[in-house]
Amino acid sequence: MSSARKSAERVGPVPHARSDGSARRTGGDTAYDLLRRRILALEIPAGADLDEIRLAASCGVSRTPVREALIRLAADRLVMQLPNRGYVVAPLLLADFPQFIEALAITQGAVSALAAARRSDVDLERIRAEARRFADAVKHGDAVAIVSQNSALRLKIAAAGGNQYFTASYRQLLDESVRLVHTFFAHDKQPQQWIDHHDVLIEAIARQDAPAAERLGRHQAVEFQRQILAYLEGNEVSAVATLSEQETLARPRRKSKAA
Amino acid sequence: MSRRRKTDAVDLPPGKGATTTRLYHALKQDILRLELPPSAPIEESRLVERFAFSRTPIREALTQLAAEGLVELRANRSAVVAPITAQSVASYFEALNYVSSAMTRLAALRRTSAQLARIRARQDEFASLLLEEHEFDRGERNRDFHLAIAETANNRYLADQYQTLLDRGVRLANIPFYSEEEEGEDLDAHFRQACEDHEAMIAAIADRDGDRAEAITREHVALFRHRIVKFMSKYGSSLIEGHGEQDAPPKLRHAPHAPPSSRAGRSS
Repeated sequence: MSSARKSAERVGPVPHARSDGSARRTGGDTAYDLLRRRILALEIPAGADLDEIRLAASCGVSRTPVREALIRLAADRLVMQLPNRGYVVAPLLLADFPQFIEALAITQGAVSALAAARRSDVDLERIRAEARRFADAVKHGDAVAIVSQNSALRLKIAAAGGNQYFTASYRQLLDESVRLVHTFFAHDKQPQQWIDHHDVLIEAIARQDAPAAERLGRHQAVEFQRQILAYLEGNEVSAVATLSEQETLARPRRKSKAA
Repeated sequence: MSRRRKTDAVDLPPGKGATTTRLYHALKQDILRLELPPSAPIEESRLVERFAFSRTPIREALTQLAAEGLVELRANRSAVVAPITAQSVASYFEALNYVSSAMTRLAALRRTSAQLARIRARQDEFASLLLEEHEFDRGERNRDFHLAIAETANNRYLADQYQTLLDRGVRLANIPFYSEEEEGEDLDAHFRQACEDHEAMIAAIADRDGDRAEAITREHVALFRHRIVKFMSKYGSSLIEGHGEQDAPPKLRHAPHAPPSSRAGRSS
């Protein structure tokens, strides 16, 4: 999941069969993975200066792979290059927040619908394996691992949809959401809500119900927005109540289909 | 982002005063009005060109703005306008809530009648503004009203802190205003509510009622916060079906320009 850019999310029936050669990791890969993880966990906050020399020292590589990593992170929109060639961690500007949520909801709906429509049995098994890993991460209790495993599961769903354009932009949007989660969410109660979200979505994908998967994908993004806004209003309790209403809202369709 | 802007650049205000001070005010105005938007690089060479001053006073003005948190300076790099991130909103309102309610309480306990008259005068200036003619001024006159309260509180340390928060508030309030055409009726309703709050604050300060002054100020901060939350909820809810008005968080409404619902958009 962490070397995702190259091949991890490759779509299609081919399992993760990398030759020894392609699995070989360069210094650039190491620096990229390390920096990406630190930015997503807010260890390096938005707006922070990225000094090549210091980063090279802290990643244990030379400056060239750090520069390579920064270029890749800029393509991911996690860092920004300033006019005079310095890099800073990209902020999610307040002015862009509404557009971000809109893009997340539409893209998450689309990849979920495509996954329901196109998933193979192998895809489904892989998605379920990621869900089990998510449950393990929850047991272990490390917030950064939990949030990153949520992304891994979501990307596995996107991969089952088989549209690489959606997958690439979805990955960027998920990265942005990770930083918001670490800012706004209480980690003690979030995981159970996510498990519920995953369960209903995976069920829809399992029964190949694309409209339901799309609806859930969108709902869950909008729910994410609502919880952030509820946090801002100092009113998390009502956000939890809203969530359970949403879940019941999503269920009748399943019943009517079974009937 | 700058749909409503009228001029490309704010020229240096005429008048006396040191070059640095005048530059400082001109740049600050650009930043608060988002002519220089959050996160935008500030290129010194451009400023040199525009203001026809040397780099030294420009550097000094930028340093002063950096001290107020409106600009970020970086060694050997161009300065940037301080970003307003989605993440910063929560702590901003937390701070504003604490400081402004404390300021208004202290003002109520300590005010002289001359100070009360000054607060009254600032509110009259604010209330007299018509939006069409003074699109920027509302935010700035609102700040001046609260600054008059800050002076009345008679605590220079708190007042400095409050001024910084209020300046940031002017900039923050301009974000929904600029980045989309906020509905005129919504803005008017907001403005009327702000005026009501101000009147209630003045009454509490006049009565030397600290508790009431503090309570009203908290509501007033919540009013501002609602406006920002409403901006943040502009897109999203319309994308999901079964989302009626009653599901929306209190005081929030659908954005009038939101895209069509998913029900209409689904074809497969």
